[in-house]
Amino acid sequence: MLRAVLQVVGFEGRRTRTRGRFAIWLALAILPSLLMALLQSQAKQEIPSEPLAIMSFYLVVQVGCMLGLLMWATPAIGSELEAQTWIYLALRPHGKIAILLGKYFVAAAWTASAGVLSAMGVAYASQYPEPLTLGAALVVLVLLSCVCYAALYVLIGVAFSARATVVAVVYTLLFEAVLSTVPATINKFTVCYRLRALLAEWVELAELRQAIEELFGYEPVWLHLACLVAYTLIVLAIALFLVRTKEFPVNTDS
Amino acid sequence: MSELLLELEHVSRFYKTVIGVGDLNLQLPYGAYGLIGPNGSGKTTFINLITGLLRPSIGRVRILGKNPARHRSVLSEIGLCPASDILYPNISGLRWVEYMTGLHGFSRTETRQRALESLQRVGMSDNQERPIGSYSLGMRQRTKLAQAIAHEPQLLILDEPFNGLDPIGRHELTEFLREWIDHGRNLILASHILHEVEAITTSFLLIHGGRVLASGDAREVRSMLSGFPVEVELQGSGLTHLAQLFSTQTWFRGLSFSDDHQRLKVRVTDQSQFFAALAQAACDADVNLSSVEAPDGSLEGAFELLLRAHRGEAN
Repeated sequence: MLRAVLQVVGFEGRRTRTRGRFAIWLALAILPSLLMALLQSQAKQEIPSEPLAIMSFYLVVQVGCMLGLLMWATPAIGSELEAQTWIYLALRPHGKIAILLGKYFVAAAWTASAGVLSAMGVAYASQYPEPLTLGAALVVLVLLSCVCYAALYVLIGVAFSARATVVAVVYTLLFEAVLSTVPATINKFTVCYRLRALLAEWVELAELRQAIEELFGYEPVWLHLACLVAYTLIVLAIALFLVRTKEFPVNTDS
Repeated sequence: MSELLLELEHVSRFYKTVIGVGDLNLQLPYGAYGLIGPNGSGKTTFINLITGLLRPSIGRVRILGKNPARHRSVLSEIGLCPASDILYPNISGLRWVEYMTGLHGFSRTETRQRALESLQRVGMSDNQERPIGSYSLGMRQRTKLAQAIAHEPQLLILDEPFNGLDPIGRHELTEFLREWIDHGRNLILASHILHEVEAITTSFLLIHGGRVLASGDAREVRSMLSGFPVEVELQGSGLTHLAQLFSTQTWFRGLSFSDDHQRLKVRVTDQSQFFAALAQAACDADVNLSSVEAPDGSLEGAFELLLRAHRGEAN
């Protein structure tokens, strides 16, 4: 089983080494820093540090990572069905699970590598008073974001193999962008809330921390981390169950 | 080990209101079988069902004694060469076969060795480093076959493997499959090209409209058809006289004339009695036959007859 997963990681990892994919990777790694530098150069007055950190967070951890994962994690199964290669993979004893886990790891690693570079660039370009603190926090948040969102998008890819990207975009906009900012209990079930709360703790953003505590009370860092780990494991487990049991459309021509 | 290669009990598969396959009942001992049927007859659905890619809507499927949808371990004993193409244009044939073989859980060294050996067996060693996108259709078929045999399965399933092969490629594949069978391995070969299947195996499953019309060897299939009427076409003059003569016979089932009355089609249940009567009648001065066309003894003729019987046209 492990060998099969490693085969997929090796094969898919090699497939990421194309000019097109490298260009996208470079864009994800550099564009946030360029945007941040542009923002600072055009600012007529000094931007307060807290909005600067939050902006960096959304630019790198939310938008950057989500875009990367939408491209590589969501079509994990759909791309194989479209290319008619699913039948070859599904005919291996652990093929279905290996392809899901292998593609999950590759998508998370590929996006995280661009995200880490982007986090360091943005922390520097933002002219934040403590760039090392912000940079370190963003790097860890990028890793957490990639692990969690990759699992989520892989699940969406399995459950809605035909229109996975559309469903993933709608889900992201509805839950992670809109509901995560609504002051209600549902907010706590989003990944964005946990990541934002961790940012507030690690970068010591007083206003953001206060806003969160006013709503839900104080929650320690370990609880946020545990929630993210549990979320990832549950979502991945559902995806694995579905990929094993779901009947995907295959060619029935002749 | 199970005594049966394949066991299907009242297996039906529906696609909403369309029947993919209907009420299949089969018990196949170990061996080699040709799955024959025209395009759209349900061959691929049949293969998808027996490999667990599709689950039956009704009924039970067992292959090598196991339900393939539940017991995925049985897949390590099956090699499938599907009809669908390989769409990894930038990957080399060797890398792809290695990938497919590695998914069976072999070590890195063993995976490579098996991939190299299987590509050699299908005659792809010289081109194995080239990207698949540069392969001809025949080379892609061979590469697909290589991934199906690299893990040394007990059962090889091929779906239309002759598609895209040139005559030499067809001959080589035929020889390869004969050798496969000679080594005591099992084979299910789905094709619509009868004579190529006949050259490889003597046992057949004839499928049409999602139903197995007949199964057995060529002789058994023909014996099943012995009761069905066959159509013989006569061309020449004096055919009206022949029609009158035949119409009183017990083996006569019907006739039709062409518009110019130069051709006569006669449906008969016993060809030997018909030809005896025809030989006698042909001596008559009023009869002058220029051609006689009867279904030949090939499996193709038998298959056409089965299809007609299935459509209710044979009586």
